[in-house]
Amino acid sequence: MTEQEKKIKRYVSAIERELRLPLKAKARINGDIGTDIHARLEKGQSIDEIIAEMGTPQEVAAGFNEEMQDQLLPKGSPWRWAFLIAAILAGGAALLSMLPFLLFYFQSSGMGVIGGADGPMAIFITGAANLLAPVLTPLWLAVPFILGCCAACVLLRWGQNGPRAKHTLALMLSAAALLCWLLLGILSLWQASSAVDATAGIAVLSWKTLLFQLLNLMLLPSFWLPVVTLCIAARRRKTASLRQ
Amino acid sequence: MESRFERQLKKGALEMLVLGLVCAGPTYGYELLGSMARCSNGLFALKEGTLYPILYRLEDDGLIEAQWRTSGGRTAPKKYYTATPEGHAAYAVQRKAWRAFADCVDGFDKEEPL
Repeated sequence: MTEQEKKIKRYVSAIERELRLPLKAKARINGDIGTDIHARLEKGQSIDEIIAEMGTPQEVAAGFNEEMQDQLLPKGSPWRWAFLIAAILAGGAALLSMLPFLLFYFQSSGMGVIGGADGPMAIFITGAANLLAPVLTPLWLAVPFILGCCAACVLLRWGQNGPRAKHTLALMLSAAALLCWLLLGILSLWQASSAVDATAGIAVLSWKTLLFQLLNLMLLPSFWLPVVTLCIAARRRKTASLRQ
Repeated sequence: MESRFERQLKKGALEMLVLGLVCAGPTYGYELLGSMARCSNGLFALKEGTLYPILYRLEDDGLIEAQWRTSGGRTAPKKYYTATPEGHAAYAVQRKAWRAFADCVDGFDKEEPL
């Protein structure tokens, strides 16, 4: 790629970044701006002269954004980045807390062999229950929270007047987060009750106690964040459907 | 710096003028920018951000069609815009409406002030 082609690519990409329009409109504009630049080059203008005449990428994009206001996408709230960072941190923290168990699990000799010799036909079995207990709680806390953060990101990116499809996406992410919370929560509490039974020799936790613990854990953000995003997404989706 | 009135006036006529130039024969974006500036003695010196959205609206309304063509030699392919039969009909209607409007406005000058 020549230096001139690189300059054109950079200029067109910079314009595209500044456009607050749907992808289809961006592709259309991208093609037309490219053609325009090549037509000017054929007339003998240099790339620097062309850029000076057409204006900065911000100026060119502002012209399109102003003239195509009926297609203008809402400007996302900067708060979405806070949720993105929170999701990354939660994922990192969960991984870190699981890491010692995972390392221990794969290094330990808790691996059995059935089917005779330790050959290619042998079937290896592993102590899944040993691994399940320590990873369940971090997963339970992190996965629904990460999904909830993703839903919040989508909601904050598109705002109240965003397209219906984006609100549906936020709704599905929130629902998936709550489903994960419920499934992982039940598994985690079941695992905890089994552990108490095996080691201490006391009675298995009753379903009433488990339910009480589950209700208690509803105070955690891994539960209420997806609940909040689910409610907002459902309301916005309904409004978007009425708008259509 | 042009007044708000001038801007509104230009905006109203712009779509009709662009359609008129496309009706005159197949043309592409950069050529249209030049034609607009030349025909209007610089009054309609448009930027890409103004011209292309008009072309997109006309294309979406089915008044013009876009087609990629090469003009031979080592030239890059260009997106040529051509008026459809509906475009020609719409331009005739718009011109008639404009004429009637301009005649009406001119008529005010001939009236005696009260």
